[in-house]
Amino acid sequence: MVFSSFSFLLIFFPAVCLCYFLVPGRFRSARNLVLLAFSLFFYFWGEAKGVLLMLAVIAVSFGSALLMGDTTTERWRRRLGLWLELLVCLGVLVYFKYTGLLVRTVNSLLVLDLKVPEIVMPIGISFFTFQSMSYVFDVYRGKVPPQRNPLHVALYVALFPQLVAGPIVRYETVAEEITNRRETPEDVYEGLQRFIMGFGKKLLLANAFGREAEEIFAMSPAQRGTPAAWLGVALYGLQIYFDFSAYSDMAIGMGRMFGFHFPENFNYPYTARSVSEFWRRWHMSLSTWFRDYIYIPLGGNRKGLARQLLNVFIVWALTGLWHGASWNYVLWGVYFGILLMLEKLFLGKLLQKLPRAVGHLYTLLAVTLAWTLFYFTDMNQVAQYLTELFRFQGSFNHVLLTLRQNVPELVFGLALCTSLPMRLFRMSAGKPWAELLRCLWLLGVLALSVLALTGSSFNAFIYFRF
Amino acid sequence: MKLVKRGFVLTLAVLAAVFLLVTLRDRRQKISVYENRTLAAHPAFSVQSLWDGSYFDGWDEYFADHVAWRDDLLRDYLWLQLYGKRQVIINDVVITDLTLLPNLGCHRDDSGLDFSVPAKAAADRLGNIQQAVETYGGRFLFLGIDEQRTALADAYPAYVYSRAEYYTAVERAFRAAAAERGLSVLFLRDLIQDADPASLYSKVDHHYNLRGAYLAYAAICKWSADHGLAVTAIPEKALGIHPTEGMFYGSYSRKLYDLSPVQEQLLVFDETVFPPYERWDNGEHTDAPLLELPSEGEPVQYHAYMGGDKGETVIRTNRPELPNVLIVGDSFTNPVEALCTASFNELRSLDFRHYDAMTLTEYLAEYPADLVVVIRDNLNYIGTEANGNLR
Repeated sequence: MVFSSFSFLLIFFPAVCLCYFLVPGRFRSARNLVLLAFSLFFYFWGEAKGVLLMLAVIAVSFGSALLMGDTTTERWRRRLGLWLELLVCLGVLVYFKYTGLLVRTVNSLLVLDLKVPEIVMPIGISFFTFQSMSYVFDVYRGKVPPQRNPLHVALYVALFPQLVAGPIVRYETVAEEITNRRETPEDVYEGLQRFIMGFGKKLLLANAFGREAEEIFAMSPAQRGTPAAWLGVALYGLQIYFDFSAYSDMAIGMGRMFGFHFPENFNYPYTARSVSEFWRRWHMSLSTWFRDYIYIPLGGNRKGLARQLLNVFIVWALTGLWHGASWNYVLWGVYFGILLMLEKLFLGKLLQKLPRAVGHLYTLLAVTLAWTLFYFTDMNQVAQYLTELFRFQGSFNHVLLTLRQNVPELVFGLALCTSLPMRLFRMSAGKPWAELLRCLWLLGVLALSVLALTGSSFNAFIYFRF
Repeated sequence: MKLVKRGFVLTLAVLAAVFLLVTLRDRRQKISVYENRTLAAHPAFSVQSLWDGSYFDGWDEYFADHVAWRDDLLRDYLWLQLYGKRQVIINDVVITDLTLLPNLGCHRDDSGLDFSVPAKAAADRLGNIQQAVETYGGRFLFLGIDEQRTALADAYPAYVYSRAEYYTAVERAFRAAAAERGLSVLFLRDLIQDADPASLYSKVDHHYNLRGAYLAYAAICKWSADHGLAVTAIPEKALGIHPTEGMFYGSYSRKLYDLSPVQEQLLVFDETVFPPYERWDNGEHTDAPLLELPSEGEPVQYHAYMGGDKGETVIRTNRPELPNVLIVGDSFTNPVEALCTASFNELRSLDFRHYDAMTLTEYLAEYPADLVVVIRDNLNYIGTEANGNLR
């Protein structure tokens, strides 16, 4: 089930809110049980087979953490628990997500003809395995005690707002809130507002940019030309940002309604002045996950420059691989790894000395080019598209049409890429008239989003075939 | 402040509740007239469908199709796109001040296209039919008609792809192949060069209007007379051409609901000027009129002419002094068939999209018409399916 569907909006979400808030707040366990039951049903709706797998991962994580106990437990038990968790979570991830890639790679490297198995990847597997590992890592590092109640671990991993598209919530972030949180009317109000903003970003912006980008990517190179090629990849960048940040907004908003405070996942990444800064602002929960659980344990920047660069390279190759089971994602990660290394070596200092606009332009260009690597899984297509970007030929017809068709989306989209709207909002925060305006604005966004959601179901047939 | 916040949450709760209740209550609508399709039904439960996910997918589709006030919401969304965003293309329809046109997708370079091979094949297929007709002493005519998008191609905004070069290349190749094969051909455009195409074509549909169809009919009659058949066209004035009361619900305007900024009424004729006749559709005797208009207040559609596409229609006027005609083609033939009733003794029409009992040559062996007319629009000159694959 996706958040941007009528099934979710009309049935699931009202039902979960109703059942949750009908249970008095003092019965925390019962409220948690309601959330867990709905979360499992949410996942079952979209991935019936995957529920058992997710429950198995949760069970192993719960058991591993119990095996580890606290910091006074014998070292071998702690290590056994950690290895068990790693073996199961990474095993599940590799099997369901990367088997096809591995077999195809072995086939092409060793000129073999092994059958590529058709394994259906459960939705959200990258998120729930990473969250499970986060829990066990936090227990291993002594940041939190092992949870004695398996339902609490299950709720942490399966909590529906962040289950399928993040943000990747660290166990230590919500450990306290699972057992001891307060849902206030203020939380419900703020959460609803955040949800509506995300809903609007998805329905009104991400989908519009996505449609246009898809159309351009689907053109043949001869049709496309350089202007449309640039527009396509730029719109794709906007689509990814608004799609992903919209899901994060909705997740954070719904979490807030139920009393959880999930971490922010995006902080105006397209306003960054360097690639390093971009990655401090983009998918922050993933970046910090890799930083805390991979980069720092590998030695981080504590073992000399050469080792630091190697660590950066490893982390970014893995970051790329996390995004998809295809070598283009690895290349995408490595590309960013190299840029980050260059920025650490000299580019970062140079950018600081240059006018701000240069940094913005450099970052936008670097990130936009990277989206080409992210979109096309076929390396020939990547090379062809990159060539088109710099061939400087073709007409502006499609660009004009796309701009003409999407004026409001582009205006609002570009404005929302900056912190300007939020700054305006903060300037008037606390004033009742501003609050009223904000509510009316959000009701308008919701109405337009519902219209767009209905419009997406329009499916005309030319001929009479009822 | 508290009041505003509580009011906001309460408003949303009430809206959600009302929306949900109306959605669950209103289950009567089974089809979407605007979209021309059946709406999704309740998914059928089975362990298999539950396990493979299709059961819940079915519910997603069901709720998307049956959400409360769906038609109103769709219309409002369309209004927003039309008049709020002022989009040029909506639901694959290009909206211009003059007319509605189909969206033909992204620009492509159509220069240098060569259709000589398929054009020759098409001309050969038609040539074989012509030969079969002339063998038994009949006359054969191929009548080429511009489809609306090419007749009104100038209305496309410069930055919207009109595919003009493509269609020109097809026609050029087909004309050359037809000349080489010695086909009896007429191209309506050649006969109406001085006329304003906008007056002959629908602005909301992909067909010509009745005036365009009349010119096609008149061209057939004149060609027949020139080739020794006792055929005269009924004068246009005598037909009493007039617009219907209800709005014309064309193939493009229907995609814009009733909000299309370009509106039009279907042109119809006065049926009383036609001779008495007997009619058979697909072998069944019928009292259907030449013009089937809906009841008052209902939108009028192109299939008002002859009741729409039929596999086989036979009309006998019992005037043996006049020749018999067989018209082959798709929906462009419908108004022409109606008009030809006035000028021929027996009219037969075949649409091979819906007729497969015999091939055309087999049909001609059984019913050797004095005149065989194949009517094709220029999007289909080299097409190989149904009416493009005459044997």
